[in-house]
Amino acid sequence: MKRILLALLLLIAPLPALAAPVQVVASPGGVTAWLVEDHANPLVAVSLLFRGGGAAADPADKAGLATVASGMLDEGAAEMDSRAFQDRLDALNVSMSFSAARDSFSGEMLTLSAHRAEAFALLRDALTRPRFDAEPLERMRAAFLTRLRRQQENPGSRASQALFAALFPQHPYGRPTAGTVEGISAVGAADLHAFARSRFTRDRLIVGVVGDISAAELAPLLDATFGGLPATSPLPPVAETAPALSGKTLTVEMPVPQAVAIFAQAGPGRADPDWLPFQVMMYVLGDGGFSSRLTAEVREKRGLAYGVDAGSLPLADAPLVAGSVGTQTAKIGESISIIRAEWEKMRAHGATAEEVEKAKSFLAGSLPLRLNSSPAIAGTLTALLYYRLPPDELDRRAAEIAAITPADVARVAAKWLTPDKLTFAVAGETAKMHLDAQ
Amino acid sequence: MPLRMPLRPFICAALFAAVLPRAALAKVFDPAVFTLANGLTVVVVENHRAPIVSHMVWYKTGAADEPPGKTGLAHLLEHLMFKGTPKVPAGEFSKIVAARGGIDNAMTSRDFTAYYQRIAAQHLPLVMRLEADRMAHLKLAEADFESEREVVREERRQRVENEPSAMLSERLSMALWMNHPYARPIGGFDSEIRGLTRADALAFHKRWYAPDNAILLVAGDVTPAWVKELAEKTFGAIPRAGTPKRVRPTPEAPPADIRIAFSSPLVRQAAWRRTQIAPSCATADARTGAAFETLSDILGGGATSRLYRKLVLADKLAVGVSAYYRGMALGPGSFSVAATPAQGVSVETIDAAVATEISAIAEHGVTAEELARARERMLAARVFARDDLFAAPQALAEALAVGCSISTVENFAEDAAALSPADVQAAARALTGPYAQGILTPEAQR
Repeated sequence: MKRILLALLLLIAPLPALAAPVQVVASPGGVTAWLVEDHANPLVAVSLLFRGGGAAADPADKAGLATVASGMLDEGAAEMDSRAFQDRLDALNVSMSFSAARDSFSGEMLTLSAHRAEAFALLRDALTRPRFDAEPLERMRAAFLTRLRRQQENPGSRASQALFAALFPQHPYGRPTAGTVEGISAVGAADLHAFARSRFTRDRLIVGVVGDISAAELAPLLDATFGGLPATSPLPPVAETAPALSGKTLTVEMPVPQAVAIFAQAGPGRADPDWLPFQVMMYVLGDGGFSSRLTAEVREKRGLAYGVDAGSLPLADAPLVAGSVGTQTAKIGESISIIRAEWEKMRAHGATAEEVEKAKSFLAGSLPLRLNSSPAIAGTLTALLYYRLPPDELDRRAAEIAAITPADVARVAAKWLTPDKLTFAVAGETAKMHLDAQ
Repeated sequence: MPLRMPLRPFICAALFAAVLPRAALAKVFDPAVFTLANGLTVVVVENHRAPIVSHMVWYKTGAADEPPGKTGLAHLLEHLMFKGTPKVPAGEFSKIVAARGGIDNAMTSRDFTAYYQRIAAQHLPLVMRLEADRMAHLKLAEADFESEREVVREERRQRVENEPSAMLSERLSMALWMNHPYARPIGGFDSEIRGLTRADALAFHKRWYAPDNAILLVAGDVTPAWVKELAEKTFGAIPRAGTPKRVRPTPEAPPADIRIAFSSPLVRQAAWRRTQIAPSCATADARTGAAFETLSDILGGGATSRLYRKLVLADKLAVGVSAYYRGMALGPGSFSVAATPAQGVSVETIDAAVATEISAIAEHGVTAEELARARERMLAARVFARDDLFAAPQALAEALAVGCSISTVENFAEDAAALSPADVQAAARALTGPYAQGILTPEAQR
């Protein structure tokens, strides 16, 4: 117990505007978690993530492995088959879910504090002793294949898939995170066991906990839950890559009345020193909702779209800036040419002092809005850990944002924006698109 | 993929079900509720964890209150509320909120239209001034009206015409509700949206947007006394309008089962659903509502529900199945079951299997253990709801906006705990009558 308490003293930092501080809890066994202790409601929320455990690490012929795994972890573990495991979750009112992103694999758990010991034990079993039985595997396979078919009905998904396939012809980012029909069909129990062994390791693990639990109570639970995971694994890193940006507009034929365009170019990564001024610039250009130039020009002035936006997509191996717009087929070319023109205008002239001030004010002032519920706070903790930021990041970020000048914004705009490389994929009735209007 | 939440959506009440699965719970929020002299109802939920606030104004009007031939008007007006007043120029509302770190949006349903801002608590006086200003002083330039009407048409294309399942829902509602205003699509028909005028919007605003036809909901780092003081200074200055009380007609009961089949070359995955008219908090007592909510939970509330265990786990007929009861409505409610057929399984087989499960409860009731589990889930949901200061407290305002009471939400778990298996059985019996089926199939399968 002494060691635990010593570890607790290492770092205690306030999350801005949150009554309780972030405590860094290191367990006797060497598992670390960030904790916001809050006894207002009798519940505990856990957010966890494995770095590099996402779809980008799936074998080329098993695209969708991480996604299938995300559906299988609560479908039987240890001595409990699928029905017994689900029944236990239900009886205890524990909600547990997992999801696969391109670069990471994440999980969430929410439990009443009365059941927290058993909830953590169920989480341990899901991660360390998943069964991957045949019945739930076939059931989940069918569910994920169904989801792929549904995505094929959605023009945004189709355009996005076409764009990523074109940007990353040789890299896993070119494959859909949700997998392919061939990949999901090929996943077997042995693949899933290998997946769990190689991706759920302590060196990849990140944990955020919020709620009715003290650091001294959490520390032994961390060992009990995650201590059984392997320390590390030889999972090969995914190679860094540069997106193949042709600057062209690709098309996907679909019988829909509204064409949907997805577009991207290269951008700074999360650790790039340009990150924050770039965020200010993108807020003005396309990430600021009704305060953005793209919304002003495409939606407000011309009524060409319901939604138009663009912002950073900081993929680990190829950071991008990406955006979307949906416009009636005959006028999609007009929306695309406005977006290209605004891109060039920002690159050449930057943003006005007033725009920069408003963007800074939003980006700093909106930070506390992520703290509305225990799961939301736990997710914020995990996100900070994922990007290797300190617990007092939100306070520090407000100060860093305050120091950004219009000259910084003009500099990052000129450095990063490449209108000639901005590449579009549009799904819709291609014959009626008038893309030559660009 | 950076497809964010679309701006200013119109919603159906089902969206709240997604946020708050077992929405209503006993003594959940323990709100302070009071009424200003001009009739504005104010609901305050204190939550001091972070110095933030959720500020919402709910109007007791929605798509079901539109004049004939003017579908889409309530939703278009929701968009136009951002188009300015004498004090706040068009398009500035959201920018003023954003420049202080806040976010804002709005939503339209059949029975209500709601506007919200989420922002640091210190800016509550500002957002209350802004919201009160546009309640009383909406000003619309013709050019802004026309461009926003085009935006709303794009929203319909994106959310309905591009989505076969949304097209099906629209047609299914029309078939089910027939002569009732709930038959109208919330976003409107394109042909009718095109005909809407600036004068229509201003008239709808004048008729419905008034303090005595609205609910103010403030949740977060505030005290009721502070909210009252601010509300009196802002909304309190707006005169009562004497807005007429809304009455929804009684729908014609479907004489027989209705079947709407929709296929398109866009559809890759078949889908099936059934929906029927059910009691609501406005047409039945709290116990009845709790019984339908409990039935929907036992029948189709997740991986341990009867329908999932039978159709998905045991018989492999479906890939997914769920049940949904919509009890918060000024008119009647509805009860729906949706399923995704497994490859090669016909929708007729699904339909029959679901009917068999409903009949089983109608004939034999539910077990004491099922009822006890459902109660536990509702008690737990109460704790989880209290933890969230953004989405969860909305159930309070929604209840008031559809003419029901705060106790519909606050006492829900108690009402559910008092149920007997016979109450749930009675709810299932009520579902054995005619219903409307919606079927979506790939064109090739037809």
